[in-house]
This record gives sequence, C-alpha cells and structure tokens, in this order.
Amino acid sequence: MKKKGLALLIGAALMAASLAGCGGKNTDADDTAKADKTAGSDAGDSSAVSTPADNASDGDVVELEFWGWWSSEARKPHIESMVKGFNESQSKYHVTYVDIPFGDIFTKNIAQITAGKPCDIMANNMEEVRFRASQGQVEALDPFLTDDVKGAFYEQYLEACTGEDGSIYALPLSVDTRAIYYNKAHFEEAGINPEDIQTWADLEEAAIRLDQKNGDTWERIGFIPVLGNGGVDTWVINANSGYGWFDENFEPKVNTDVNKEAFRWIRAQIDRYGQTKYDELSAVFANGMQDPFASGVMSMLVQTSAYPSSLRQNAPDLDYGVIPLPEFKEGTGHVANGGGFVLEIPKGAKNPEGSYEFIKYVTSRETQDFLSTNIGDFSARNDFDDSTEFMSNPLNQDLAKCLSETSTLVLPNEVKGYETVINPFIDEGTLGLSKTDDALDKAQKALEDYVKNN
Amino acid sequence: MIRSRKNKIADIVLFVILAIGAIFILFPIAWMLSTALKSAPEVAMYPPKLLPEKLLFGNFAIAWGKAPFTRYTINTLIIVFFTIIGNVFVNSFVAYGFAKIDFAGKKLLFKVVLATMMIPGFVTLVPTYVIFSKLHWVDTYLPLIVPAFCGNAFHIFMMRQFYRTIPNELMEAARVDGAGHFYIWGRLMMPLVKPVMATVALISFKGAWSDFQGPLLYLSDKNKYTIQLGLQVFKGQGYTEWNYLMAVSFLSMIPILVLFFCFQNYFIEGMNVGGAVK
Amino acid sequence: MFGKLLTRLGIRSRKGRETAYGYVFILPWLVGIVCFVLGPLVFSFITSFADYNMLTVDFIGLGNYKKMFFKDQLFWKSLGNTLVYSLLNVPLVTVGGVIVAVILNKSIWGLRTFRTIYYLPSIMVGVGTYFLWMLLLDPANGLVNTVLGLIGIKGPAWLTDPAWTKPAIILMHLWGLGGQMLLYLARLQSIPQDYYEAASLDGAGAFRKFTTITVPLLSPIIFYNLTIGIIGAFQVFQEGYIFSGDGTGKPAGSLLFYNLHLWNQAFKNFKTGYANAMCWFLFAIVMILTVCNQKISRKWVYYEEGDNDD
Repeated sequence: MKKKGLALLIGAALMAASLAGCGGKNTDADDTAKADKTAGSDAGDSSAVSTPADNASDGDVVELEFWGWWSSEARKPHIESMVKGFNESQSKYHVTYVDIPFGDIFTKNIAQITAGKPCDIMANNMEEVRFRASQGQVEALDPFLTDDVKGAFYEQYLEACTGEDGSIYALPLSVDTRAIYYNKAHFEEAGINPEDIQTWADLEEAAIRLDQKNGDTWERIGFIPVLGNGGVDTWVINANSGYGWFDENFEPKVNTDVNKEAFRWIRAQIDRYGQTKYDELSAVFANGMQDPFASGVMSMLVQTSAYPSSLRQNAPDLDYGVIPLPEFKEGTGHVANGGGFVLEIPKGAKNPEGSYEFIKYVTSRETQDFLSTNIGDFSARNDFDDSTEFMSNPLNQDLAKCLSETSTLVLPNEVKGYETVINPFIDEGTLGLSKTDDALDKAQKALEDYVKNN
Repeated sequence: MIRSRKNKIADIVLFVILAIGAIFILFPIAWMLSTALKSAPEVAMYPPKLLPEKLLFGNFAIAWGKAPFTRYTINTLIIVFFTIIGNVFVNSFVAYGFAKIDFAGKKLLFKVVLATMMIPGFVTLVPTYVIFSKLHWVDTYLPLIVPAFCGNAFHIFMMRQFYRTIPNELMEAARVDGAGHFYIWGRLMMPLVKPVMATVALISFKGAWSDFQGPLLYLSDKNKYTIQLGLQVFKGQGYTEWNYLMAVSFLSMIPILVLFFCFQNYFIEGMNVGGAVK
Repeated sequence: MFGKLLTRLGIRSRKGRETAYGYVFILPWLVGIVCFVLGPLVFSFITSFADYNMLTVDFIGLGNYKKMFFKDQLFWKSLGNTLVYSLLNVPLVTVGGVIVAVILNKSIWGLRTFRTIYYLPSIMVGVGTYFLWMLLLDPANGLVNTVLGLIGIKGPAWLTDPAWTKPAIILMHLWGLGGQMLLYLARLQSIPQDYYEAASLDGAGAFRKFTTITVPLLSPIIFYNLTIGIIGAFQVFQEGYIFSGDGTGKPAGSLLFYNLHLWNQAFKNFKTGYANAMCWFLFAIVMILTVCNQKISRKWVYYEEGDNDD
C-alpha cells in the first residue's frame, strides 16, 4: 500500500510538472536573471548595454530593441558604440543592440510580427523592402520623414526603399557594389596596367596573360567571371546596362542575343581552365573557409565592396587594388549590380516615433562617417563626399567610383522569387551540362511560365 | 582448432575494417582540431594544409573568452537537465499506457502519436510561437522545457516498442497479486526499461544540447543564451572566424563525449542485466 | 489509491478501469497535444485553403493545391529530389547501421574505443559539421577524393555536380550512423548467446544465424528506425540549405528538397498558405508510407509477445 502510494505520488508529481511545470520553472528563469546581475561582469562588454534592468528605474525612458546580424569583432563593437552614442545624445529613448544570425533573424522577426510583439528597429536587405512592405511586415516612415532627410540620399536607394504604394518604408544604412579585385604583384609581373582593362575583351586578354600553367596543372588562375561574388546575372546586368533577365517593362528577356553572347563569353572563360578546375574552385568558394584570391592562387576576382574587411583578416599582407567591371562593348557602361542594407520599423512596433529617431540618427552624415570609417561600408547619402575620413582612403575612392555605376534595380513584387526558377537552368550552362544558348532558352520558357502563373 | 584459427583471422580482418572505418570517422574531427589551432590566414590558405605551422593552443582560451561561454554552458545545462527529466519519466509513463493498458480509443490515439511525428516542424513553427508569446513565455526557458513534459512522439514510440518486448505474463502475475498499473509501471517496468530510458536520456541530452532553432526563436536576453547561440559570435556577415568557431565547437562536444563514455558502460551492461528478452 | 477512487466513482468493470488508467497514463501527452499541437495544426490546415501571409487571410478554396500540382514548376522537382534522396538514404543507413552494430557486437580488441569512435559523429551536430564536410568533399583537396585517388578512382565534384550532391549527403549520413547503430547494438547485447550456440549445434553458418536469429530479434528496432528514417528523410532540409550556400538548392536545383522549397515559400515569399498546403500534402505522403511500412511490418517484425496488431 505504501509503495502504491509512492508510485501514485510520483505519478501525481509528474502530472503536476507537465501541467503546471511552468510555474516552478518560471522562478528558475527569474533566479537566472538575478544571478545575471551579480555575475554581470563576466558577460563581457555586451552586458553594459544589454541589461534592460539598467534603465528600468527612470520611468520616462522608452526601451527600444535594435536587431541586426553583426556579431563579429570587426563590426559589433562599433555598432554598439554607435548605439551608445544615440543613447547619450538624448534622454527619451534607450536602445539595445541585439545580434541574431543572418537568415535566422528574418524567421524570428516574422514570428514576432505575427505574435504582435516585434523588435523596434530592424536591419534588413534593401531588395526585400518593397516586397515586405506589400506583405504588411513594415511600418511606413512617411509620418516622420522630413524633406531634408529624404533629400540626403541618392534617389535610386530611396527608390528601393519605396513601396508600390509610394510610401517610404526604410532608410538605407549602407550600400554595396561589385568590383574586380586584382593582385598588384601579379599585375606588375605580367606588365598589366589595371586602367587598360576597359572592356570584356581587355579583361580576357589580361586574364590570359596572368594565367600560369605548369604541364597539366594550373598554378595561377587569371580570371573566372562567375566565382566569388560574381554570377551570370552580374555579367548579364552589366551587358544590358542595368537590366538583366527582364526588360524595362519587366517582361522576361532571358534569351536575347546580348545575353547569349554574354553567356558564351562566360563559358569560354571557364573552358579555358576546364570544367574540372572550375568545379574545384567553385567548391572552395562554397565552403567559405578558404580564399584562393587571398592565397594568391587567383589574380582577379569579382567581390563586393565589403571584401576588404575579410581580406584584412585572411591576408593582411596582400597588396591588391580594385577596378570597375569592364564594359560589355564600348559605351555600354561599367554597370555592376549592387544592393545594400536598410533600417526599418517592423509592423506593430510599440513606439515607431522612437524607432524613427534612432534610424534618423544612424543614417545621419556623422554616424555614417563613423560607421564607414570603422566598418568599411559605403553610405547611400549624397552628401557623403571626399571630405569624409572614409573617402581619404584611395581604395575606397576606387570602390566609390564603382558604386556610382551600380544598378540597384528592385523588381516588382509579382516576380518575387523568380531566381529559384531560372537558376537551375543557368547552372546547367555554367556546369557544362547543356549549351549556354539552350540553357537560356529553357530559362526563358521557365520564367515566362512563372510570370504567367503568378 | 581449425575453427578457432579461422575465427582469429576473421577477427583480424574485422579489426582492420573497423580501424579503416575509424580513421574515416575521425578525420573530420582531426580537421576540426587542426582548424581550431590555425591562424586566420592559415585557415583561408588554398590549397589547405592539414597541420598548421604553429599550433596555436591559445585559440581555445581566446575563443572561450569572446563570449560568456561559461555562463552559456550553465544555461544550456539547465535546459538539458529539465528536458531529460521530462523526456525520461513522462515518455516512459505515456509509453506504458500505450503498450500495456487496453483502453478504448487506444489504437486511434496511438495513430495520432505516429501522425504527430510526420508533421513537418515548419507548419507549427509560427503558430506555436504565437501561443508561447501569448502565454508570456518568450525569453524564458519554458518554451524549451515544458514540451519535454508533454511527451515526445519519437520517444513514446521507441519506448513502446521496448515495452512490447516485455512479456505480458510478468504483468499479469503482478495484477493477480492485486498490483495496480502505477505499481507495475514504477516498480516492475522501470527497472526493466532502464536501458531505454538511458537511450532516451542520451538522445534528449544531445537534442537539447545542440538545439539551435528553439533557443534562437525564444531567447532574446543575451544572458539566457545557450552555447549553440553563443557560437554565432564567430560568424559575421561575409566573414567567419573559423578557428575560434571550431575551437568552441570542439569544446562543446566534450560533455556529450564524456557522458557517452559513462553511458556506454551503463547502457550496454544495463541492457544485459535488464534482459528485455525472455 | 487510484483504484479506490475509481471504485468510488462507480467504475467497476475491468474494461472501464483499464480505460481510466489508460487515459491517466497518456494524460501528459494529451495535454501537450491539445495545448501546443492541435491548435497550430488546425490553423495551418484551414489556412492551406487561403492566401495567407501570416498577417492577412483571404480564402481561395483549393487554389493552393491547384497551384501546387499544376502551376509550380519547382514543386515536382523538389518532391522528386526528396524521393530520390529518401530511397537511397533510408536503406543504406539502416543496412549500414545493422552491419556496424553486428561487427561491434563481436569481441574484438579495442572494442570500447571503437564503439565510442563510431558513435562520435552522431554527437557532432551543428552547422560546423556541415562545413567540415564541405572541406572533406572538396574535389581537389578533400579527404574523400584523395582516398579515392589512392585506389585509382577519380572522385566526382561532389557538391558542385548536380548528379553527386545527393550521394554526398548520404555519405555524410553514413558517417553519422552511430546513433542508429547504438540502438541495434543495445538490442544485440540482450540476445542470449545460447540462441547462437543452439543454432551452431544445428549446423547453421554465420549467415544463417544472422538471418534467422539476429535480424528477427533486431526487427522491432529496424522497424522503428525505418519509420523514423522515412519521416526524417522526407523532412530533409538543413543539408540542402547549407550545402547549396544560398538556400536556393543549387547546383542546378539538385538540392532543392521539398522542405527547402516549402521554407522559401513560407519565410521568403510570405506564401504561408501555400506552404501549409505543401505541408499537408507531405503529411499525406508520409502517412501513407508509414501505414504501408506498418502493414508490411507484420510480415517481418517479430515481437516476443506475438501480437503484431496496432
């Protein structure tokens, strides 16, 4: 009987635990929170900013959360000191920076918006703004925006932040572009002047001069256009002076003669080294750990304007420069495709006014200069000229030139997600599984179907 | 004589096969260690080198210091502890019901158990978040712990499979003696299913220890982070500190490893003693 | 005590009492289902008939299902990818697990160490492991192709050649079969040696003993692992997400698994209603497969108590 009672007791306890286990554990969580305060010092530099209890006592201060994904040592401390700067600049709001991994941050944000309790300020992809706005995920900034703020950004970036309804839903935090990074030592050795590379033909010629082959093994790869951050779309956009797979009316234009010629050229560059070599190198870039350009195995590489910060870590001694993407044919322009990051207010944020104050502070000229200088990102501001500290660096000046020819075309929402439809066919072309012309024809058909069905 | 010699040769062959397999298995771990001991430029080196020029053992300490990993470890252990308690006891309890008690609606309900395993997790991701948010459980460990006390279909299924290997005569004899189901479960069955409970404990430990999505979704306060979330400190946009990431990843494997060493003993011996087969 | 309570409640028949006990035992699970699973499930089922983006619901009848079958080019591709992967992965990992367990059940020098080593990969979880495998599968410098080169085989470009991406994932899973192996091993340990000795006296060879003793006694675990394996294989996601680099399932869409496509629809394109419809279709497929598996299992799964009904 006694044993039976014991068993029942265990059963009851389990039941209680499963039903109301929350109560008991709630105190656990509280205990942990208390322990935090005493053990706060070992929580590193972040604890100083991230303990929400700090300001809980003065009731007037509104606590705001700012979400981004910058967690590395190269960026996070600067983001945090920028946040600190904002907190000290006024007394109404107190912002806390929370870093959440890229990719996952969007999932978490969606869940929070659905639950009606999102963070207050959120970093996001520039090309997503218009679509997210149409899905009701973002608060419009119109009630707060003033003309002086609006007028401070290059038009194309503000355009990218504008929804289909004409409202502005975000402000640009930073922008990027693509350029060709080259190894200065290799160029000198081969006697190439970077300024001579003006067209695709020049680029090919330079690549051939940079190539080094010993018997059957490639010791140095001059240039493969679709590695690093370059894709077939990069070159197609360049060849079409800003438009890629669509024309200006957003009709699918995948298999045009220009695109076919461009893809054939890409194919020829790959074929010079052979499919095996290309497969090898693209596997290396996919794993993200090794960098053949940093190791001096590749002489030129398409990368974004954020690449220097990675080179600083991986190859501190590498002497390199940048040139713009060359012109497809003379006069077609050195256009590169680029994008950027924005700050936005998630739908349902509790204090949009405060969120906007923070966004305004971060996108101001002074803060942008601080961020650029310390992190190396480019600003979307039109008053961000050579007088800033950041622009005194010659490399940044070269990158800025590329930026001025960057296309940030945001496609209409109806064709959202089209890449997943055409990329498999484009891949077949780069992987040598089908002829590039055929790949484009198939992609054209797929894209037409996609547009029709959406 | 001939037989034993044949056996010996077979043993050697098996040993060689196992050894080759072991090398194959250990190699990624060797890579992990060597990456942990490299400098950043060496990690990025192409073609890669297996052994770094200088073994930077200091990387472990540097990496551990880049975030409050000690605190994250404690946090993770709190979650792991409650998850194990919940999974081991509740699932063995529920599984007993499904395996050994005949009740109306059992077949249907067990089909529901199976069905819940087949639901892709994404379908409930956001709605579940909304529920926990309405309960004000976000940013506590409750969304990570409480579900463990509500039974887990996989574990229930597994434990039921084991219960079913235990002959019913044993139970019937106890019932004739007047024992109720609580007694049979707590006194008769628990010792017999200990090995399964150990397995469930191990699986739960592994699951809770390595869970990334759950903590990511539900925890916001940095002080409540788990190790898996902490590892993100090494991953930036476009640049990852692989050497440090691998160093902490390696260290974070050690507890499970140690546990397995201990478990293996209990698990395999326990299974023999338990005699789940008549 | 509970018995007395039942008596007081007037539940006296054995059947009634058993039912009461039964429900008490499964209560924690019932509570969990009702509180945390049922609601989201019903909700997702309803919204699968709607244009739903997590904020607004607009009912469109069977629109999502029609789109799935007739308009979405990637739907069939992703389903095909998942089927091919499942058909290869589940049998290989199961057979591999049984074989390794049988070998590790012998008395071999260094057994405990081997068991730990073989179990080791299954605790190496997290994104880091996937990246390590990308290094191992590197076509030029990876371990796998280096070893293949030693025996004169030119290894494929695993993760960049669409034909080899799925075998690459399966290879990685074979590496991590230790978790399954352990379950078989635990079961094998409990098989009394006299079963085998008796069989030996009857003149049975090693293979006969394996098929007539080992496999039948392992069959409940094999059945369990097959069930879990099929469910897991159809939900493959992370591998495609990480190995394709950008989550689009490249190269050439070969890693666009069903759940990856579903994920992109729900969280990138905000077509949550459509994603829910995809979820329910997947659910139906896996359900049918599991029921088939269960029906077939009656022919080969061996329970000691002798009843195989479910």
